[in-house]
This record gives sequence, C-alpha cells and structure tokens, in this order.
Amino acid sequence: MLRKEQNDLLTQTGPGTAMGEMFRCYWIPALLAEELPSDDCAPVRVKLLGERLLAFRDSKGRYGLIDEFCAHRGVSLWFGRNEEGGLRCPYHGWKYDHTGQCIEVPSEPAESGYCQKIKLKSYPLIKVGDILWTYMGSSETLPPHPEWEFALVPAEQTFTSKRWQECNWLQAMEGGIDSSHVSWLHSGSLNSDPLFKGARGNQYNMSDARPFFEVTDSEGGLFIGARRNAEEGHYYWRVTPWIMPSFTMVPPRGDHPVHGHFWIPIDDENCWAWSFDYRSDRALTTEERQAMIDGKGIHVAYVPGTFRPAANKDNDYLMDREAQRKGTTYSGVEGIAMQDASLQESMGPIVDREKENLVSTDNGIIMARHRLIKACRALRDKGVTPPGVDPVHHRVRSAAMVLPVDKSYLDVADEALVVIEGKAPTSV
Amino acid sequence: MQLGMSESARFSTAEEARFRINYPNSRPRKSRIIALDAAGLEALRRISAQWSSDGAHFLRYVEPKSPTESLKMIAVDAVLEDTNGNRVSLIDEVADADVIVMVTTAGSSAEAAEVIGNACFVRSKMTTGLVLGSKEASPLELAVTLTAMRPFAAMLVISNGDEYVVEMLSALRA
Repeated sequence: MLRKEQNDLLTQTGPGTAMGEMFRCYWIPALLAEELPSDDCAPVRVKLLGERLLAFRDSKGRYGLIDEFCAHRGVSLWFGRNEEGGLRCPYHGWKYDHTGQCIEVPSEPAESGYCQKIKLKSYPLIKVGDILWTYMGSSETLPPHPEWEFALVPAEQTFTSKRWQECNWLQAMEGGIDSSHVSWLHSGSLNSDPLFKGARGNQYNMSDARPFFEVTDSEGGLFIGARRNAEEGHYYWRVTPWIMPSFTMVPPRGDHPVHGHFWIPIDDENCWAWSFDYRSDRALTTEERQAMIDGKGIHVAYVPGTFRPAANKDNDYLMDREAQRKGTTYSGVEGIAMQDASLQESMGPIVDREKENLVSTDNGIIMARHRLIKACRALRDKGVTPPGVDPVHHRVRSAAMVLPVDKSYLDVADEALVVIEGKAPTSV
Repeated sequence: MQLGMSESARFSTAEEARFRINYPNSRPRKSRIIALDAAGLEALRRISAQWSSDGAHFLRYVEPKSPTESLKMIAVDAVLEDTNGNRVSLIDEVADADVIVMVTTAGSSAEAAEVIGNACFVRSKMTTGLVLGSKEASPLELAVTLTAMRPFAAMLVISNGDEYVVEMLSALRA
C-alpha cells in the first residue's frame, strides 16, 4: 500500500516533478538506432518524460533530439526537410541544426544575425549498442556514458526491441522485480517458448511454486534472490538485479541468451518497455535471433509499421479461453511480454496503490519503492546524485544457480553478479 | 463510455477507473515485530515511538521455553517482552498475528530465529526476517546471521537502514 502522495511522487515524471527530475539524471534509451538508419533520413517523433521531441540524423551523421515544434509558428518539424546539415521547416524555411540552433531564417537578412537568437530545446543523443540514448538533465551534471553489458558486447551477440505499453512506467517496472508471478502467469511458456524451454532450472521453477526470497540493498539498487528447493541439500537460486530507476535483468535459463528490460516513461500513462537479449560469451545463433524478431521470449510481434504489440487492448490481447482452460497459456494470453503487459494495463493508466494488499513476498517491490522515494527526496532536497547514474552500477548480471543450503547467492556475488568480460553467464 | 472499442480498451481508461468500487477491501492486519538482539531492539524502540497502529506489537525475544521432553518436540515457544516490560508468550502472539517480522543486525547469531520460525511454521504463518546494518558488518558476519535466519524466514530482507522497517510495515498495512 502506498499513500496517494507517495504514489504521485513515484508515478509523475513530467518536467519539474520530483521523479521526472530523477529520470533526467540518467542516460535513458530514446529510440532504436535502426529508426535513424542513414544520414538525412526521415526524422522520428519521440515523446519522453512528457516532452514532445523530434530525433533526426543530419548529413554528417550527427544525431539530434530537439523540440518537435518550429519556434516560428509552432509547426511540427516532423514535416521538415532533413537536408544539408539541418532540418528545415517546410512552412517558411526556418532551419535548425542537430543542437536545435536555428541556422537560417530566410525572411530575414543573413547579416541581421536574427537566427542566432533562436534555439530549440535539445538534448544530446548518442549511440551505444543498438540504442540511441539521451540525457535530459542539466548540462552541468552530464554523466559518463552508459556501460550496460548488453549494449557493449559486439553486435552479433545482442538484440534489442521496444514496445509501447499503455500504462504508467512504475506498474510495468514492478512486474520485472516480482519474481513470484513467474510460476503462475508464465508457467505455460517455460516449456514451450524457444528462448526458455529445456533449461534444467525450469524443473525447479515448476516443482516449487512457493519460493523463499532474499532481497538485499546494492549500491545501484537491489538484488532480489528467489530460492526454490533443488536436489537434497541444495537450493535453486534465481537472482534479479534492479538498478535505479528502471533497469532489470531476468535470471538466465540454461544456455539461452540472457534478457532484461528498461521501462521508460513516455508520459504518465504510457511507457516504452525496452527488451534486450544477449550472450556475453558468444554470438546469438540464427535461430535465436529469428525467434526474437518473431516476438518470442520477452519480445513481441507488432502491428506492422509500429512498435505497438499485435496483441493489444484493442483486440483484448487475442485472449484465448481454450488455451487458458488447457493450460497452454495460464492466462489465455500468448507470449511472456503480453502476459505481463495485458495484466499491467488492466490496472488502469496509473494504478491506485492505496487499494492494494501486499504480502511479505512483495518485499522486493516495497524495497524498490522505498529506494526510489528516498533517492527522489535526496535529489530534490539536497541535490544528491541518485544510485544508478555511476556506470560502475551498470556492470551487473543476473544469475541462476544451484547452491548448497548453507550458501547464499551473496557468497558468490563477486563471480556471478558482476560483469566479467567474455565470461559466460552463471546459469542452470 | 465509447462504443466500438474492445472491452479491454474501454475498461482500462482513466475515466472508467473512476467507477471502481470504493470500499475498504481488507481488514486491518495484526503484526508482531520481534527484535532478536540489542541493536534490533534499539531500532524497534525508535520505530515504535513513531508508529500509531494498535495492531502492531513491538517485542523483544527473551529466552526459549523448553520443548516438551516426553514428546521430544522442538522448541516452539519463547518468552517475549513488550516495550512496557510485560512478558508474553511467543505462541500466543503468533496465534493472533497476520504478519510476523524478526529484526536483527548483521553479525548477530540470530539463534532465536529457529524458535520463532518453528512457532510460525506450526501455526502456518509467514515470517519475514529483516537484517539491519549490513554495511557495517563484514561479509562473514553477515553470512553467520543469514545462515541462521534463512531456513526460518520466507522473506529475508538485508537493508542498510532501519527506516525501511517503517516503510515495510506501512506497505503491508501492519
């Protein structure tokens, strides 16, 4: 249960809000690099943290993320001509460079210097891995570039997708740290999805639906360990790192690629669910990559030409009651991502957490909220940089392992839960 | 209500959220928060001073009661003491509780967790173990505490600050 003022604090991310200011301390995913595939390609509308922006790639390959609207009469620059080192508004020919600086106002004499007085709000846009990242905070506190392992490995070892999720970022993100739902909601997928099936660990998941949990503070956020019974004298551990504000990694299964998410607010009632899969020690196979493109695992199939899932609220998520009855899928919705998203969207755009009834196994969620609120207030009241900004916090891994009963995942954290370049993930 | 939309689209709007039935959907919880060591007790004293719910009992573990020798049973009862110095029985407190939280500090032996865990087990009650001060303790000290608590706590939380106890109790409606 959260009081209304706490819920508002966590769920509101527009300019000037406490959580919005916190999100603006980080490099966050803005769009896929493939959305701007070449110099002078078509610009792309981007809405992040309640701000309408436009991304483009100029004639020299420089990325820009600027206010969507022309400073002259408020026309959307999505209609602009991307040419000769800038984006030109088609209405009266005003032209802007990748920093948002106006470089031409054709109706004014060039010698007047009028255009130098016009600058659109802009944010840096950099390419790391498959993603174009932006930082929407003060230029005085620009953090070092992101160092998430999935974004730093060679291109053949990683795959990233994004999907539009029609609810507040927090209720989506909380699903990523709620390990106890896997044995229920996703039970039908563990033995059928090509990116999950066959792992020895799945048997432990399915045979013990009441895991014990261990949640511990980390420098960047939390580690959430779920412990299930394994062979005599042993426990099966699945450890999920959560790095503030919204990065999680799912513990691996067998030799499958390792996956994880970012949840990034579009506005307070919509977010981007970013999903990645990678291997630190090898290239993805052709079959694995194709399965991801086809929307298997944590990815989705799309409405063509969009990032909206093909199964969405407008078609009742293609609910299949027969599959629900047979247990092919536990909820009747196909695919792990949409099993989560369908339920999270059903809560409404922003769930009222005053009505919820949490239980002790929800301590991961309780602790994450506590860390977010604490960091938010420390930033707002004292200017303290929040956890997760420092790239050292990015170098984490999830892990799955079988350990003797007198050992904890914390005992093997130094080798299993940190990035060791080229080393395979710790997995069962 | 907009016609022509799917049910899921229609009923997940902010407008429709206004029609959710507004009523208290659960009864108040009764919680027992039990300090296992002196530092845990200090934390509970600070917390109880700012906690207003009647349903929460802040207690300290004093000593186990002997198991019944004739039945060779494990210890499932103990003497607890509330913040006013009154002594009460663990088994009675557990029987009446919805939420049982054991609070200790990293480095403590946490032997009492076994007795409390057993008492909760026979009453089918979930236990949460909260280990404070992990930053100040060595990994070995922390491991000693966790090993003692792990078999008896369905949820173990290792937190750097005792303010988390308040947040957790509030979140659980304790």
